[in-house]
Amino acid sequence: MNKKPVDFPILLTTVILVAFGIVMVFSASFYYSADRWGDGLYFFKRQCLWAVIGFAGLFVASQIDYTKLQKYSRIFLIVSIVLLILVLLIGEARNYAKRWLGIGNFTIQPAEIAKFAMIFFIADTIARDKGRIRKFFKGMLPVLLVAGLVFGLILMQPNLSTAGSIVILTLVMLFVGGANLGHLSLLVGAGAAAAVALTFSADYRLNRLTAFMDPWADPMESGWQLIQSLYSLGSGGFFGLGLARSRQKYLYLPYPETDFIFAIIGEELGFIGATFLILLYLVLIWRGIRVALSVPDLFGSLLAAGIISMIAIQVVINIAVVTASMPPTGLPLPFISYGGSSLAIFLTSIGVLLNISRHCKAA
Amino acid sequence: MSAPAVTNRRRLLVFLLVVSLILLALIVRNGYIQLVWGSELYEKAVDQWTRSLDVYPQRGIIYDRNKAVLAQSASADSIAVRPNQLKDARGTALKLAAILDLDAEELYEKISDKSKSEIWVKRQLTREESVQVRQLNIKGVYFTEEPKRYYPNGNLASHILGFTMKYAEPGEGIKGQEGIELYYDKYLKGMPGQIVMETDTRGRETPTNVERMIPPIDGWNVILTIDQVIQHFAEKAVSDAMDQYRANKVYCIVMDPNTGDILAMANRPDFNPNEPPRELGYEGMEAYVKNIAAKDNMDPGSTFKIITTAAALEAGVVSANSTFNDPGYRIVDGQRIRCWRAGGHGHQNLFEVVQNSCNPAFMDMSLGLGVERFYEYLEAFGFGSQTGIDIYGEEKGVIMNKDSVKNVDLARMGFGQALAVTPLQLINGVSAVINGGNLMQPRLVKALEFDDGSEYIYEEIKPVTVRRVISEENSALMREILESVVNKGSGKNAYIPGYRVAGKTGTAQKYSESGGIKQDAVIASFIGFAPADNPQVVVLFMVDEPQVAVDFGSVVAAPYVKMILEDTLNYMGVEPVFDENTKQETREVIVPDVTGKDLSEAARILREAGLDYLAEQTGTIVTRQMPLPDAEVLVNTTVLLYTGSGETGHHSEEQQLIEVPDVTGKSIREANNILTSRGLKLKIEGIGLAFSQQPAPGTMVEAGTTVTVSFEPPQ
Repeated sequence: MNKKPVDFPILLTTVILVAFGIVMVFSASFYYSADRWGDGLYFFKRQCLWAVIGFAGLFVASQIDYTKLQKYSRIFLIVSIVLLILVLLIGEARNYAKRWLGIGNFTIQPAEIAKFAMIFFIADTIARDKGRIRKFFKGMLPVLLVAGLVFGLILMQPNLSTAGSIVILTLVMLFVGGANLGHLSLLVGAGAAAAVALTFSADYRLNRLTAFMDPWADPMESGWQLIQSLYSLGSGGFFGLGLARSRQKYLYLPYPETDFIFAIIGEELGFIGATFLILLYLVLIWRGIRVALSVPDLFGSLLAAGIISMIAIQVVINIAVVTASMPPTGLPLPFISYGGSSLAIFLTSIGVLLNISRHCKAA
Repeated sequence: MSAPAVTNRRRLLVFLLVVSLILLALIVRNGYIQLVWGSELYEKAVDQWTRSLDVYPQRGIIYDRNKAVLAQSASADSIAVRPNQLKDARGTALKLAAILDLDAEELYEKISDKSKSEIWVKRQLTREESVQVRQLNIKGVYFTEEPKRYYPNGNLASHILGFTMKYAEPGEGIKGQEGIELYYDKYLKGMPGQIVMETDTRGRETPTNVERMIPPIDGWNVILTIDQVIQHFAEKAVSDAMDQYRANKVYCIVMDPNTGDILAMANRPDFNPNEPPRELGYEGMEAYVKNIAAKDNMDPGSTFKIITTAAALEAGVVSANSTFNDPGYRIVDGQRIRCWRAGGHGHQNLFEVVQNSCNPAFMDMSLGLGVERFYEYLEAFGFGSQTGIDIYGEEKGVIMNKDSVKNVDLARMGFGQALAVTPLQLINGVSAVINGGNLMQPRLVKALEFDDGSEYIYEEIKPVTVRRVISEENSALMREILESVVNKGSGKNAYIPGYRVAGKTGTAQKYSESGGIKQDAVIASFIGFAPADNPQVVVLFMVDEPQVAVDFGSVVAAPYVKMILEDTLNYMGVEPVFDENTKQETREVIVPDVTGKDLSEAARILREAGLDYLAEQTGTIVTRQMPLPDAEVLVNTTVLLYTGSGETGHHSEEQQLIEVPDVTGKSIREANNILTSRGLKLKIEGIGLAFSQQPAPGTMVEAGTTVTVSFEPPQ
């Protein structure tokens, strides 16, 4: 195959997002970091290092022909499932959840890897026989069983947000992959029923739900985070308080450098900055879908679709949470939020996407 | 390799459309939050980021009329502990308790309560305590500066100055609770300022903070009419009288009759405004802190005859040439009212009537005036209403309802019974009689001053003349009559060589709670002024229940008025003049020591020395005498002799001797408990823990003896 250049807008958007993210992580985390670690640059330095690792991953992935990766899809899945089991056994617990595996000084989240593995697995399964996916038992069910296993393992950590995002990812890929709409509707209905049941099975989940409807009902406890997020956004107004001028980062807003970094962006850069960021994501998603549309083989198309929908799902959920549009869950904002393994895996998957773009028919 | 089908492409486009729509919706949602809801959220957020700290102004200084400081503000440290920041609560409690004189176990319990973010350990530390705690440098122990009111003269003028209290929260400053501190609180307190700063969740200043400060405005200074030196004379006199007579209460007011300026006002019991006796509770404290000179209603007794005489002269009921006859009683409406002197005073002119304080003559005067006119003058002289002095809670005396006054009551009022007045009303009424006839509004403050270094304002307060009550001529005549009382009558114990002193004695009965006359209990008083032809200073001195057999005002109170007048006139630079007006027997003699002598022998020694005497009838041996031996007094001064029957010379038949306990090292409250439980009184000097006492422990003293204890802040 000829070596065509990669899709440049995707690369450029990604670089802008990561650079933007590093600046915002620095701004949002400096005070907390100095207070917590005695080093204002603690998060910033780590994020920079992970960005370097991530871009290395991006470069390597963009150089490996994705079609050659297809045969490793199931092995990749099995490895990630082993990691998910390992994390339950020997994982590092933070905030009452076992989500991290330590490798030397760094820690990674196996769930982040599992998302990526699921994309490969579903794309591979459908691409092998595209007619089979229309059937429920022979086509959809095996995918659903694997997705259910991964979902269950991640839920046991517990990490409902990531587990949930894998369910949505699976549904999106089944939809794009050509699954029967009737089957999908049935599945979504069942999933919704399960979600309702889950919500009422644990008090903290129910509290989160009500807190999102009226954060001021319990302003010091369950409502605190959302109120602080809204204060951030509200303080930003149209033009923002100015870069590094957030007040909410002075320990008022919890997790300003990770899950709630969008609020700090809104506070410092205003509606303008927040909208610019959303439009950047839209460009990335549009270019990604464009790759999926123009790649000649189904595996590549579904792989690109999976990668882009993983990004889209997290962007939508993260911003919806920060703007109090849905019950709070802890999903990082892709490329922006502090978090090493997440950033590295997103960048590597962009590398895969860029490689796929090399195979596109002239657009 | 299979190629993507049309379905896949269509569905990809559907996905792109759905995601785009959702992101668009999120832009709208975020726009609503940031742009529409934004200002409300921002307001709440600002509220959350900013803390405002009140900055308290310097409370104004209280000065005497010559700008000597009577009350001023300083600041003292208070310390608090944040339990969550303490590494070793027990160790901290032990260390702090040792320095601050607190119970270590109690303190430990207090500061180990992690549910509280901050706990006050002790407020207003002494400098030493503060330095020592600072040296420990314990993490989690915080200092706050709190204003502290300081009265450099201790008990001096305590009833005038009053005292202050701290607000519940440290850092909020102090407020006046009594006296001038209360009455002029709104001037003294100033206006608090504010520091507004941005902080993080834990209240720490943020790096981006730009501090905005609204500076406090300091309080106004208050300049009193009080003269610290004259106040000191008065304080010494009331202290002496209280000790000498073991009295219930003693009152003294010194006033400039021409302006209404109070030059001194001293009462006993009193208190130290640095340490008001809060441990006694509200009621118990009242007995010490109440300015009784303006808040006690009492029978004036014979001093009130000045008012009756002035009213009768002004109304034309009597004149300088009137004569009176006193058979020893008057029968009014069939009731026989006796003169104080059995057998009466016989025929007298107006001067003699006042000199002798002859009751029937004053009954004639008040009856001659009639209820209507008598009441007109009562009101004109300010009785029955507040004088308007700058004291909260001033009493207005008790005057019978005019409609229910019978002739018997009117007759009694004429000589100072059947009505109650405050000492302040009495001296103010008498001032009007002698100053040319104008009732002044008595006052404690002559000016207010603002001085913050850059701005100076001085606001003088002018004396207020309430009304003219009697004519200049009648006022002059009254001065002459009252001078004759000192020169020839019952007031001779107030005579000062070289000065023209005038005055009137008084001895009022006291009533028990049931309304009957209290046996052996009187209020002895004297009101005197000088110079008689041009009064500069008038002094009222009252002793409530002096524990002496001879308790006439002439004997009990007049010597003190003389003392105060003499010191004050000297101090004011009024030179003694020796001419025909002051020519009297001016020879002074030395009082011999007659204690331990048989009464008849003592009387002989005193007569030979040229002195009069008055003795208690209870014993035969002189145990104490007043004036004390070796005092220089005028010829014919009355010496009071206290007698007992035994050789010991003390009232051993009535009183057991008590051993003075050791209170050194005790707190004020403990010392007070120990002493009062043994029937002794505590006089507090300083604050903190007792380090010395007088009399010394082990000394045998009489019940009721005052033990003076010096307290010092612990080191």
